[in-house]
Amino acid sequence: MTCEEALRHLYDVIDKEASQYDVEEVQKHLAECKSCMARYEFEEMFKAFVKDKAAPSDKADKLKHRILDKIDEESEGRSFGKLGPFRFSAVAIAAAVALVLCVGASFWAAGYYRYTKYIHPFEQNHFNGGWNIIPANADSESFQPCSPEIMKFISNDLSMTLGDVQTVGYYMVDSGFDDIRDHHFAHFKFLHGNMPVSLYVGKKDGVEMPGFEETKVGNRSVYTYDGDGFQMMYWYCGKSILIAVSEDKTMPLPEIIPAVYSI
Amino acid sequence: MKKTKKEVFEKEAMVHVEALHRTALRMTKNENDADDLVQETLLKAYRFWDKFEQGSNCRAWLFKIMTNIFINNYRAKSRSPQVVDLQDVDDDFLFGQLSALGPSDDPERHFFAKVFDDDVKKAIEELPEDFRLVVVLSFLEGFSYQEIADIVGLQIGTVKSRLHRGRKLLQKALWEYAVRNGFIKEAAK
Repeated sequence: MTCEEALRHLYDVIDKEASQYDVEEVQKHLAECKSCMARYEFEEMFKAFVKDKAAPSDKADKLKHRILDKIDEESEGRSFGKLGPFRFSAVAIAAAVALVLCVGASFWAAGYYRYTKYIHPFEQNHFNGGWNIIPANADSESFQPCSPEIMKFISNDLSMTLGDVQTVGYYMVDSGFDDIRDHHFAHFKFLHGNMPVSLYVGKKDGVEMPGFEETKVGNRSVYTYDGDGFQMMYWYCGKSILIAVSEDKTMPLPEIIPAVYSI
Repeated sequence: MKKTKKEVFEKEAMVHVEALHRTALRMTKNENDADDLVQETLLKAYRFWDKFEQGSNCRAWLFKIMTNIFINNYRAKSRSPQVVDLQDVDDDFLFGQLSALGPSDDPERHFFAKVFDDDVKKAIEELPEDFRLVVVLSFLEGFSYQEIADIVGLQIGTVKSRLHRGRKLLQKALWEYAVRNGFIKEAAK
């Protein structure tokens, strides 16, 4: 092995990435070449030196206790159904914003879900298949709040901007697409305490949501429906409709949309 | 008795707080942000603990979570274009400088003695962010190229080249600190 070859493997060897074979060849060369040996030794020293000087912080212990306390707080909060102080990620909010529920197309005639045994399509999806959408974070390690496809749908098709707002009380656990009665929605799944909340966002055209009551939240109108064992709320945002569904009727759904007001 | 989720989590994940915090400090350059970043990372990890494949690399998993949070939430605050000119920095820049001092007694030792803890931390923090992340994960945390690629979401070749350039920048910065601290003057004696 020449000096040039030996130095070509320099960082691979230092970083322990070189093959056994290369390491042995390099060692053979170093045994005979003082100047390469000096370089190798220096680079090794340099790496160790940097690591040594940036030693672990001594404040980590305090932090550890703080985190464990927080974990206790959260798990208590959940088992007793209290509001957990979860932070929305930017996209979660976006989702919340996007949460405008697109309630049903025109074929959802008034009374469709009020006077028949059918449950509301959104409620249905919320309870079952709704959670089983293209899992944006199927690879949960990556914690991408939602997939590029959803982001694209929100920004291109709905012309909505995902704001970078923080709010408390909800956090997003999953997102995906959900087609309800041929209407295309992004479906964001949140937890509020231990209670799931669904947030659908889609184009408002072609969606009618009969039977809802208008309520003012600030200067914005939202439309609520008090179902049997569930509650729904929808509101409009530009050309989108956002629909929230929860089976917890005490949940203050309007609280999940403050980010939306500013749009 | 079966261990509770929290007990398992404490044993498997909480032991990495020191390492996470060390990296968080260099990434956020700010103690409060570093504390928050580590806390957010572990709370998220705890919520998703059932998704973590027991027996796989918990440390890498935690760093991946932390890197994602950092990139999504913290970096955006101060994202500015990164212009890095390495044209004039040779691979063996630092070694070359030291060798040029002649065969006096052990210039490396004197050099390392003239670079202080804070210099190293500052030099790391001053690296452009793309380089900083891979340098910290490699130098401080000892992750392999493949692990870093997984954590940061880059091709392994990109990791290597960023690490290479980051190393050069770091050496150049530390050389400048050492000189400022009077290294050359003493070496010349």
